[in-house]
Amino acid sequence: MRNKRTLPRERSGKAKLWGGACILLIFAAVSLATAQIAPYPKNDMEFEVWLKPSAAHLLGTDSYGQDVFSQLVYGTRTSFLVGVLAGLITTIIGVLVGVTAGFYRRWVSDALMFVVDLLLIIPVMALMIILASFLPSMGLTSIVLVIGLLSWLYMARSIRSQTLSERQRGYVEAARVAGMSDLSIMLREILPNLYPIILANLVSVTTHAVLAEAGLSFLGIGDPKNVSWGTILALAHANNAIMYDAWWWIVPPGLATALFCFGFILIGNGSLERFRHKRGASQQT
Amino acid sequence: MKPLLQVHNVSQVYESGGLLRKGKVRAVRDVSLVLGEGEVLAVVGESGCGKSTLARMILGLLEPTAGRVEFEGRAVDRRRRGRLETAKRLQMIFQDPFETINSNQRVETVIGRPLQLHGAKGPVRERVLELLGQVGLTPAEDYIDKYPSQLSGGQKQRVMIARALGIGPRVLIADEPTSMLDVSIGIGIMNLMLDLKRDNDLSLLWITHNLGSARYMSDRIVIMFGGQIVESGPTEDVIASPGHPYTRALLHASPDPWRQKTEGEKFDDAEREESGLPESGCRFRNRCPWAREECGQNEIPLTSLDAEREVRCLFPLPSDPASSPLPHEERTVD
Amino acid sequence: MSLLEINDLRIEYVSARGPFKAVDGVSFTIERGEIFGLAGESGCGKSTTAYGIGRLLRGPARIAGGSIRFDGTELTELSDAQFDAYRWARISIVLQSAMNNLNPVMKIKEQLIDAILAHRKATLRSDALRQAGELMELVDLPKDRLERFPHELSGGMRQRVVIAMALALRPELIIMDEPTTALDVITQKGIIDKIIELKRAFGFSVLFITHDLPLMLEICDRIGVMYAGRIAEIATRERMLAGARHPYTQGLLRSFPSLTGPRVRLEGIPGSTPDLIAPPQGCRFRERCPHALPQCGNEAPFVLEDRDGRVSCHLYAKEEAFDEAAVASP
Repeated sequence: MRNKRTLPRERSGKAKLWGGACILLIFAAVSLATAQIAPYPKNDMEFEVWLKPSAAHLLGTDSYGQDVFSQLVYGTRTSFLVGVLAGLITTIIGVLVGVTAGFYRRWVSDALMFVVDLLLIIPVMALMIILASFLPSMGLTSIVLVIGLLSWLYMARSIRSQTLSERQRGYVEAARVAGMSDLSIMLREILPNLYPIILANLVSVTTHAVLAEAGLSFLGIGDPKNVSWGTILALAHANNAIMYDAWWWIVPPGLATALFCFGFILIGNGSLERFRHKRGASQQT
Repeated sequence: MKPLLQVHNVSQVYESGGLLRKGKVRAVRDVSLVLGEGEVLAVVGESGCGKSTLARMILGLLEPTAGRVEFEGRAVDRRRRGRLETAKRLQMIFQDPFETINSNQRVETVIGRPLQLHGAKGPVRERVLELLGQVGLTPAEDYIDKYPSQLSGGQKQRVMIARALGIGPRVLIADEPTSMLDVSIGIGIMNLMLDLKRDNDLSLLWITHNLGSARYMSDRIVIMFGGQIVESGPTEDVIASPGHPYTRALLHASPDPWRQKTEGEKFDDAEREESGLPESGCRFRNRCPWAREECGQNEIPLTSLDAEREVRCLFPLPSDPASSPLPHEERTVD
Repeated sequence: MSLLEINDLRIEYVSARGPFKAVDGVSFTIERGEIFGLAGESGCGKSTTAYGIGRLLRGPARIAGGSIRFDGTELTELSDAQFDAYRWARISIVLQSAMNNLNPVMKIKEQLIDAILAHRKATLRSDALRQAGELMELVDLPKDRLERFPHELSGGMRQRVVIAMALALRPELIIMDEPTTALDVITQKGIIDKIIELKRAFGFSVLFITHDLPLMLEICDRIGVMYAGRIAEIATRERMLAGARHPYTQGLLRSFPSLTGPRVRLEGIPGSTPDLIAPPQGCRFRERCPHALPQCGNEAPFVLEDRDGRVSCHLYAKEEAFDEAAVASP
C-alpha cells in the first residue's frame, strides 16, 4: 500500500530537483560570467540618476547614476560565494562534530549541547553585528567566516540527535558483529543515512547565509567595496528609493535573493523525496 | 562432541534508572552453557528472560558483569581490536531484518563490505553472487543490485544470512530470526539455516520464545526464566517430559491443537502473572502450583536429573506427568 | 438468521497505480455465540476486513462494494451517526495495540467509567464505578487495580482491561485482531481461556483474527483462511484438524513445527503473494501451489460448499471437469 503513494512523490521529487538545479545553474553561470553579462563596469556612476528601465538600462539607474542591472549581476557573484562557502564550512564542521558527538556521547556531546543552548538564547543576528563590527575589515571572507562559525552549532546539534537515533538502529549492531571498526561504522554505515538531514541543514544554512549577508550589508556592516544583493537594497533604502517609486531598484535584488533561496530549497526537498523513495518502505516497516 | 563455545557463569547487572527508584536489574544470572561442534543448541524463554542479553554478551557487544566467554578454550576478545577476530568466529542473525539491513545499501554492498573487511581482495561481486545462490536467492543476478526496500522480509533475512555466512564463522547465533516473518516464510529460513549448518560445519545457537521452533531446530535445549537457566537437556527429552514446572507451563501454553491436553492445568491466572519475581530462592515459585515452603529459603542450584539433563528445582516433575497432578487447591504461596 | 453476514465485501486502498484490492470479494457468516477465526499471513486482508466491519478504515481505504449485514441491518448503508448506535454497544473491537493505547495519565477506573458513560449517558457515575468493578472481576483482575495507571500493570493485565472495556456494554459481537500476539505464551493462554469462558457465560460472538493457525484451532468453532484478499477456505475446527482441503491451508498448517509426533522436515510455502493492484486471473495461489492445474490460471476457482465449510479450489471440481480440462490442454 505504501509503494503506491511514493510513486507521485518520486515524480515530483524529480521535477523539484530539476527546477532547483536550473535556477542555481543560472545564478552560477551569471556569477561566473559577470563581465560578459553586465553591460557596464562595476561601480560605474556615469549615468543620469533615477532613470526608469529602458533598453539601455534594463533595470534603470539608481540615485548615484549606476546601472542597476549591472550591479545586480555583480551582486550575484558575492551572494553566491557567500552562500556556498558558508554552507560548506558549516556542513563540514557540523557533520564532523555532530556525528562524533552522537556516536560517542561523552563529554563532546555535553560540551556541544552546552554551547548550543547558550547560543540559543542569544539573538544570532545581533551577535553577528557585534562580531562584524569588531573585525578590522569586513571583507567577504570575514562575512563568510562569521556566518559559517555561528551556524555549525545548530547543524551539529541536529546531526548529533539524528546520529543518536541512528546508532540505536539494528544495522549499527549488525555492522559491529560483522567486525567493522567504529570509524567505518560512522563514515560508511551511519553517514549515508544522515544524508537527508545534512541536506536539509545545508539548504537552510545556505539560504540563511545569503539572507544574513544581505542583512548585514543592508545594515551597512558589509564590505562597502563589494556589491551584493544586500548592499543594493541597503543603498536603495538609504536613498529613499521607495519615495521615488524606484521599484526597479528594490524589487530585483529582493526577488533575486528569494529566487536563489527558493532554488536551494527545491533541490533540498527534491532530493529528500528521491532519497526517501529509494529507501522506500523499509524505513516504515 | 568437542566444545566450541563455552559460557562460564556470566551475569549481567543493569543499573535501572529512574529518579525515585534506583535499583539493579540482574538480567542474566550466572549462566553457563556449552555449544559443541556441529551442534544446534536452543535457548528458549519468554521476553525479559535474559536470552537476548546473553547473546549480546557472547558476541562481545556487551561486557558481562561477571563470568567469561571462551571460544575453543580462549577468551573472546571484546576490545575493539578483537572485533574482527571475534567476527570471524561468531556471527549473528538478528530478529528484525528490516532494522538490521542498512536501507541505503544495495545487496552487493550489504554482503560485499564485510567480505572486503575480512580480507577479500578486489571485486567481490562474484563471491556475493555465489553467496546469494547459497541462501536461495536465485537467480542471484536479480537480487544483487536491489535495495532492501525492493525485497520482502524473508528475502532481507536471507541477505543477512548470506552476509554472515560470507565471513565464514564457526558459530551462528540466531536471535528469533523468524519472529518478524510470516510462518510460511519463516520455516524456509529455518530450513536454510539447518542446511547451511550441515554444509558448512557450523554450530548454531538458536534463541527463541517458541518451543515448536526449538524442537524443530535443536539437538539440545536450554530453558531460561528470570535470567537463569532453569532446565537443560536433549530437546526431545525435555519437551516430552519437562522436569521444571516452568517448562511444563510453557509447554502447556504453547498452542498445539493436535496434542492431548491434560485438562484443568492452570498456571496462568492474572494475579500470578503480575506478582513479581522473587530475588532469592526459586524465581518461579510465585507462579508454581507445586511450590512449597523450602522453595523460598535458599538459592536453588542446578541439579542433574540424569547424565544429560539438569534442572533448577527442588522437586522436579517426574517423567510421567500423570503421576503429578496439579495440586490446585493446596497452593501455598502468594 | 446469522448475526453477521458478509457478502462479496470489497475494500480498496486508493493508490497512484490504481486501486489496491486489499479485500476482494469476501463472504462469510458468523452465528450467534460462535467464535469465528480469520487466519492468513500479512497482507492477506484479514485485518482490513475487520476494520471494514468495525468502520475503522481510514485515509485511502474505502469499502468498494458488497454488504455487511449485522442482525439484519445493512451496516454499509448506515451513516456514521447511525453506526454510533452499534459501535461498542453491539459491536466492540479489541486491537493488538489497544493495550498500549490506554491513556497513560488516567487511572484504569476513569477509563472504564468514561467508556461506560460515553455510551450510556443516563448512567449514574456511582453505577458506572460499580460496573467497572464488576468488569474487572469478569477478567480476573483484583478491584484495587482500578486505582492503578496503565504503566503499573503488565502487558497481559492491560490487555485484560481492554477486554473488560470491550465487554462493558455487553456487545453481541467482539472483533479481536491479534489480541494476544504481543504477549508471552503463558499470558496468552490465560487470556484465551478467559475469552472462551466469558463467551460461554455471555453468549457473544467473536471474530478472532490471527496469523497463528494452531492457536486459532484451539479456540475457534469455524475458521476462514484468507489469501491475497480472498477466502481460500472456510472449515469447521474438526474438519481442519482432520485435514485442511485448500492447498494453501495445507501449506500453512505444515509451516508450524509441532511439539509432538515425529520430527519431519516442513516445507513451508515457497514464493510470495501476488500484486493486489493487478491480481492474476484465476486462482491467486496457483503460482505457489504444488497441485496447480492448467485451468487454475484462467478460470475462477471451483467453489465446493458442504456442511464442513467452503473451499475455493479446482481440485474439488467434479470429475468431468477434470477430464475436460485434461482433454482441452494436452
